[in-house]
Amino acid sequence: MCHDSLEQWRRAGLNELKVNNDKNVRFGDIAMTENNGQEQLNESISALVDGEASDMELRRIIKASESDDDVRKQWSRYQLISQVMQGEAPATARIDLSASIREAIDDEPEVKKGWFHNAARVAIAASVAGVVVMTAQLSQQQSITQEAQVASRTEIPQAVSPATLSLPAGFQAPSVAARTVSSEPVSSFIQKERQSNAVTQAPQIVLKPSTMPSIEVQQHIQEIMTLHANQAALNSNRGILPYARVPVRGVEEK
Amino acid sequence: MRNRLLDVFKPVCRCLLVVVTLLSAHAHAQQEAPSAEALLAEMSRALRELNYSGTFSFEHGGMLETLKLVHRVVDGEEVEWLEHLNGPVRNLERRGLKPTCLTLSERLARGNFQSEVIAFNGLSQHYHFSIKGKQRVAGRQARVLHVVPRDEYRYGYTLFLDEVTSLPLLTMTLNNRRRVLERMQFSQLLVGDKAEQPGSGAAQMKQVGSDICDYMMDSQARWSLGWVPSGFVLTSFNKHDDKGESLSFTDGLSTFSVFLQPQSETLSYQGNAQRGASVVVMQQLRNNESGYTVSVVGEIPVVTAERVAASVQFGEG
Repeated sequence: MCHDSLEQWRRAGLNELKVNNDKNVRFGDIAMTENNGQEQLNESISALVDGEASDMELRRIIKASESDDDVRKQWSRYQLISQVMQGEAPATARIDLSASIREAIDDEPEVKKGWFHNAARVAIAASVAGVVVMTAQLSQQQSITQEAQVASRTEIPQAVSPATLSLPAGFQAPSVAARTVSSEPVSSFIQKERQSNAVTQAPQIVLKPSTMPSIEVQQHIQEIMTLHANQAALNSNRGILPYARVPVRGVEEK
Repeated sequence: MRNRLLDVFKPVCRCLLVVVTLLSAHAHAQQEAPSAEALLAEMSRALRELNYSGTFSFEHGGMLETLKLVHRVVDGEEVEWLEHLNGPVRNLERRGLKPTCLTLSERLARGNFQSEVIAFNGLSQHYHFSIKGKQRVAGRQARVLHVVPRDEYRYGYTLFLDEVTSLPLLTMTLNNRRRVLERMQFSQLLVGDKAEQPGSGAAQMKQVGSDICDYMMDSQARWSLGWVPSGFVLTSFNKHDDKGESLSFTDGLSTFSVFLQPQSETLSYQGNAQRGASVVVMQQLRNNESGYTVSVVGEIPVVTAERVAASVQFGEG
């Protein structure tokens, strides 16, 4: 009940709050935390656009913007609205590209000038390129979970964070520098990845031991990759390189 | 008399000199800035016709391997050698291909592909090409060629092509999020007479090129794909001892193969496997009373492989 009256008061008297901010600051605070803080915040942002925000509101906005992207977007929107109302609308709506540009730059694989940049890119490329991902649709006897369906749709696991996987899998186990799909059961391969914290987010590798592909299936995969390499090494304009993808079964040097 | 002759000749000579200079400058300029498609065609040619050898690193699926590669043309036939330098000894030897016999992807890349069945407007129909600057790789100057797919059904590439020979010194395969799936980079490359000879050790794997220089347009398979991504053409139809039959496709840069074999108890698996740029999709399907296993394998996105697998149909395509 106290909550309701606070809410009514908040809705009715927000303008008063702005004007009488010295007296009612405490209520404003409580209102924000107990109710939908977002609405309160938007009011504050709106006030800021009009140049009428109190110090308290300003501090609140700054604090919120540190953790909430929406604050910035809302600011832009109100700016635009304000300008439109005053007949000063810019020719093109301002869109905040900083986030997407930042993302694009981060993903930029191009080799840039500077050896440090190059070296960093090589390290990241080597570790992020992706490990064997087996996503299995469960057999007819079992139901397909939502996650498994999502898993089979995803392309390459994205969550192999460079921070946690500092070396390609091979280097962590020197004796198995060139492990292939067929040379060991997939389950232990996946196990190893879990230990190194390199496993992708749960939905992207969904495998239960009962649905682990059999040795026969792994062998089948190895064989068709080899047969495909015969074709790729003729028709990719890459020369003989495609064979490097499928190591020929070799003999360990003693 | 001589003076008068010289008087005539001087302006003519000067004029000729200017013309010759302009022509050679033009030719030089042409050499300096080839188009992206021309560069790709040059790369395709260089890979088949030149003698070269080198060591390169190959990163894929979280693994970093180093390999040695030799390519030589001896008496009109190519001799190739690929050797893993780390891990178990694994050597591959390929002989018998002739640089004059172009494969389908090479015809596509070099722009001399003609077909009454398929409309081909160049690789730029499916990829956007751009040349962006130069970089130094393996101690050599390379032009950076970006190959960006125009749809989500194929991967993109970044190729660093040697300025002098157009051989690929560094190549990366990228997905649509610009993530590097696979990366090949030469650390040392020797071209021409300096190229090494193929290895003399035993080769665990031997491939022999066919004498027949032809490519497929129609397959004799009694099954086909209801859908292939635009620009992919059939390169071969093969029958295998224990893998049923397969159809292989290329769009000039990316390739995939589809295997169809009768179902067996041990191969009733359905799912995907991915490593580096390679994907394998397995599905089970039924035709009348019989069960079949479809396996799609290639350097294509999962969505493509899944869609291709789902489109397998019986009856001549």
